[in-house]
Amino acid sequence: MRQEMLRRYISFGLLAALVLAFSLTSEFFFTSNNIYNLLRESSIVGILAIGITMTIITGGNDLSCGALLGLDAMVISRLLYVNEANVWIAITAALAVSLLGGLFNGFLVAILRIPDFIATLSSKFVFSGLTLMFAIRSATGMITTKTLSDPTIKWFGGKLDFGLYYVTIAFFALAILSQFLLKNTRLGVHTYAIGSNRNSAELSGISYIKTKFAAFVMSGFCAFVGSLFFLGKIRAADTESGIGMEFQAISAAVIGGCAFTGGRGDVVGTVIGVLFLKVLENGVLKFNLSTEMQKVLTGSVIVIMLVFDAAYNKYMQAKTSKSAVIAREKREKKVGAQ
Amino acid sequence: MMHNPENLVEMRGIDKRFAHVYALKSVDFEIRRGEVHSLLGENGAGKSTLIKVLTGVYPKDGGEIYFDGKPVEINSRDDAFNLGIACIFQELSLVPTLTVAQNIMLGKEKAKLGVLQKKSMNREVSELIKRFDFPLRAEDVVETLSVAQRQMVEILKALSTNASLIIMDEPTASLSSKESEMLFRIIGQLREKGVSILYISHRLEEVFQLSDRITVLRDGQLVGVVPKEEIVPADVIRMMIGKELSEATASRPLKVSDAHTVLQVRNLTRLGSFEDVSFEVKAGEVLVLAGLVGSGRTEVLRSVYGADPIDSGTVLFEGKPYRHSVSTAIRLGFGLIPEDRRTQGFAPLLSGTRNVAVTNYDKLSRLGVVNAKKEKQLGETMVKLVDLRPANPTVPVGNLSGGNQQKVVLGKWLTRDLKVILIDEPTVGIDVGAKDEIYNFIEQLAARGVAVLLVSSDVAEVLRVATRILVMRNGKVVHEFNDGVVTQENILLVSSGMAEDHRTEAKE
Amino acid sequence: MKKIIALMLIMLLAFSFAACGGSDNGGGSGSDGSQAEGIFRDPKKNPYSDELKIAWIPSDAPAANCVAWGAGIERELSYWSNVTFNTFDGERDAEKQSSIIQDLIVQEYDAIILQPYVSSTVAVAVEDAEAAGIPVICINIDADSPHSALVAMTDYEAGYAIGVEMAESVGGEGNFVVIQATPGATRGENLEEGFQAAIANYPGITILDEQTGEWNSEKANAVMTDFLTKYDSIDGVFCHNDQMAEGAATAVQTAGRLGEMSIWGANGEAKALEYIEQGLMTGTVYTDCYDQGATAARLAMMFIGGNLDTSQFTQTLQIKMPPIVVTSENVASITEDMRW
Repeated sequence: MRQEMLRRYISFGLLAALVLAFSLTSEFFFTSNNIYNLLRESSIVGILAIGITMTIITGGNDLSCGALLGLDAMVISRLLYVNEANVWIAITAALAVSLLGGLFNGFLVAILRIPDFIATLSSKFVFSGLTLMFAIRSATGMITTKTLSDPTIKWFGGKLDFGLYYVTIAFFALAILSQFLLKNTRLGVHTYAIGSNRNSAELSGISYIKTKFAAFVMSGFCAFVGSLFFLGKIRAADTESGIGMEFQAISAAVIGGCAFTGGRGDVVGTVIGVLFLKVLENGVLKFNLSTEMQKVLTGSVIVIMLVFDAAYNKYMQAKTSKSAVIAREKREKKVGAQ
Repeated sequence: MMHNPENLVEMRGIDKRFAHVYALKSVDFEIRRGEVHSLLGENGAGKSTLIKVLTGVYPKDGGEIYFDGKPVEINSRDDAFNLGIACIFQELSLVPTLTVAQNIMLGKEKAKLGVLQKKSMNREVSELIKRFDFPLRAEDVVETLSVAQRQMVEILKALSTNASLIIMDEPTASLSSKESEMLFRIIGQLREKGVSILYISHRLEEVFQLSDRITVLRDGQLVGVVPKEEIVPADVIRMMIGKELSEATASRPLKVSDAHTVLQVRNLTRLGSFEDVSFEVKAGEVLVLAGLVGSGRTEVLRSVYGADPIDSGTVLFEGKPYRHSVSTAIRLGFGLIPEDRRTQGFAPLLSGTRNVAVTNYDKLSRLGVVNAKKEKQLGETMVKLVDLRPANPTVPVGNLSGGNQQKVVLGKWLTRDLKVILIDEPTVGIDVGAKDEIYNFIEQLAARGVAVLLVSSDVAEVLRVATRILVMRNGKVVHEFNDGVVTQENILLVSSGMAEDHRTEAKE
Repeated sequence: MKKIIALMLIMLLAFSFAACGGSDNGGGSGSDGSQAEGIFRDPKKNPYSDELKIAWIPSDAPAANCVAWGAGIERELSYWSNVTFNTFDGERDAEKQSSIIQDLIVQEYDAIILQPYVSSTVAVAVEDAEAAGIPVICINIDADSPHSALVAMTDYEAGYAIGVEMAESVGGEGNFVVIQATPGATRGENLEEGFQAAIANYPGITILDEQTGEWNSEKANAVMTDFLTKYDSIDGVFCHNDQMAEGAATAVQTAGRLGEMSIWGANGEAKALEYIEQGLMTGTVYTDCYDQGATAARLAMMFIGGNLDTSQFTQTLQIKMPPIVVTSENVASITEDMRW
């Protein structure tokens, strides 16, 4: 069986096991309110994780998207609160900031050829520095945060009558869209090709630069969408908003089957990974287990996934080399017979 | 120069220099339409340089290339690709996580507004597969395919770009005999369809089975172009070696030493690399493992040293088995001079002293603290011992010349109390003067009673240092030369599988 | 293969939606039935007999003040055998507290005692909890939306009192530096405002520099060391909490300039009181955190058993703990059992 399928079964199995375990042990887990709340909690990280999945498939990463989400949220808050701008102008400005952020990452990685990890780690600091610069300040000059009351921003935190939050709808819509993009478009195939075997992809006329730029711009766009729903939920941006979310998103992608070496994984896997992380977090709150416990569990699952990847690769190598020996023996016999 | 309209490619007077050394000197080369043309030559004869000039990887320093009768400049792989020259490399260049169809259509996907026309692409690729009757499906993911199937995908990919010349570099290196047969059938089909094939292989039997014509290169120069029917394998080997070699290096008297046995290898097997390998090395002997690249010699060396695991068999040191690990081997007095000294032999940023000290810290340190004075002395000893130039042990090894780098690698072991030294291709990329020095070191070591086990693809080198020769082919020892006089020709014939397999029986 | 997976996913989702249809009795929409008859309603539960769940969400569970508040709450609630008390760590993460509150709403907690990490970022979640009929009592730092009650240390007043003490001690003439809270922290802002308001009355006082010490001792130590090399004459340093004051004091001691300046913190934790006794620090504003926690717990029990509809509040009820200015003169009056 292919590695992808096996990984899909394992991650899905883990998610199902977790859901089952919590459903049986907590009266509050399988209630409509909890499910919708759980999906809501998953959605913002999930939206970021979709963007990160794109960059990981190209063989890279994006450590800056959490900070970019925070920057977008801060830009909107500042324009609304300090400049009293129209909400749509504020949102457009955040979109522009996000896309510029994506282009900046693309420039660092594709043009300046800085490794993804280092490039996006640096841009993370740039973005959080900008967030501090844009932060709202009180009369004494200290940074403060303000709750927004704009109805459009409030709308982003809303839900349908029966309880499903808009952010969840956006998350699933974005997931379906990007899964289609990855699997059924030219850009998607190029994304896998660049991540899996860059040399061969470039020889086939695929542009490394364009593909990398596309991935980072998409990651930036996801940060933008995430920031809207983040503001809808929290209705305030502080200087640390979003920072650290990228690690949850990366963990989700890895649990879902993405490989840091690139070329592997997809959005469906990442969605499963996000749900796994959030179900675990949710269940932990139900039993009031320590957060240390939750971190150890999450870490262990990621290690298990990575160990599986390594073992699978080793197994495949052994299998091919053994079949080569058998083939060689047959040939030797044939040569001997002649 | 008259152009033969039958020729698809003509290369005239191609020169290629690296620094001041000619890799190719005024080479003429031509491939006809719809022929299978083999390119032969020893390692370093200029085969791969010629191909790289033809595919635009290296710029040429002189000469002209004609394609389809028209003069062309090939400055990049893209240029070659656009002319219709496709290359199927040893290291496969497919995208493993994509499907066969996606790989074949990579970079030229059919799409409407960016959305792939998957069905139409799969249908087109399926038709292409059917045309050649390959055991493939368009929807298969490449990483699930065998090596042979992957090669077929590469061939289809080349054909889908309407390539008129396909270059195959050692395509059968990792194929089973059945898969190779299939490849040969495909090559036949391609020839019938008017596609030219440039075929490169160490395996003379394949070359003779497939080729229409054979071009032989030696030392960067053309030796001759011959139709297959007019020649026998022994002639080709003679052409590859050259006739003007002096008797001294062209042949060598061998003998079995009567010293005590230091290293004994019995039925050693590592699946996928080598199997049932047995031999022994005596004190003061230089046993050479000869054979073609990929015949399993390096792997035997690494396994004996404990760097790679073994699946079955035993290795005895002075009659006793030992724990299979590098640290045990070093403690017993083993040394390894690896094949690729740049990646395995030394740390380029560290000084000569530090590099030598790495294998000697057991003597230089107490409780983990290094005695700096002893370390310095060791560096100076090494400089004298190997005659390092410049005679300064503090220079980072990466800044030394190739020959001197190899001397440092040797120095790592010379300063120890050695019993067995394993040497892999010691003189690749080293100039002639330094080569001789390294041969002298090897002889000195042997004279001190060290058992030397050496891997070399350079037949002249084999004859220069060997006291006994084992030839390996396809992971097995196929012949031992242990007495009388052996010539380069003998070794090459056995290595390429063109000689009668007259493996000597166990020593009488 | 793919189809099986897709099918399973769909089934899981369908399953969850089905479940949602079945049990929609959670607390989601308390404020919708808004034909309010004033702010009174019938008590929801009997605090003496019903099983109750009360949560404590500090911003940083291991911190000394959070431990003290938690201990105060627990001590008070331990008299009620029908109350289950749980602590949920906010992990110094503004969004984490919000997530926890949303989950506690689902779990139908009866009251939440919260020490917000940032006032604004918990506002929506606090609003949702109140709407679901769960009274939220904040400790020390207010949430930006109206809720049941706030039990605060004095911050503006404490800042003001410290400003006056420091200015008076140098006769209204001198150079001060301030080591501030993490940017955005409400308590820091209020302390700062009170301090600035007091200093404004003394035109002879100059504020040389203000830098953040991020609430922690090491950072404050580094900032103070920097100040000491930059400025030859410093007459006083005000830190927004005691931990930073301790760090600053160590820096001043290392530089051998202890006698030159007064060093003030705020909160009154045990270590700061020791420093005052040893003469390393000049003073702090002490709050009895045990009492503060216990007060919050009593308020929670009052709202649970009372007939006030707190979701109708447009303003938060406030209790402020008395500001006790502590210097070497009166430090002995803070007895061992009051220290935290």
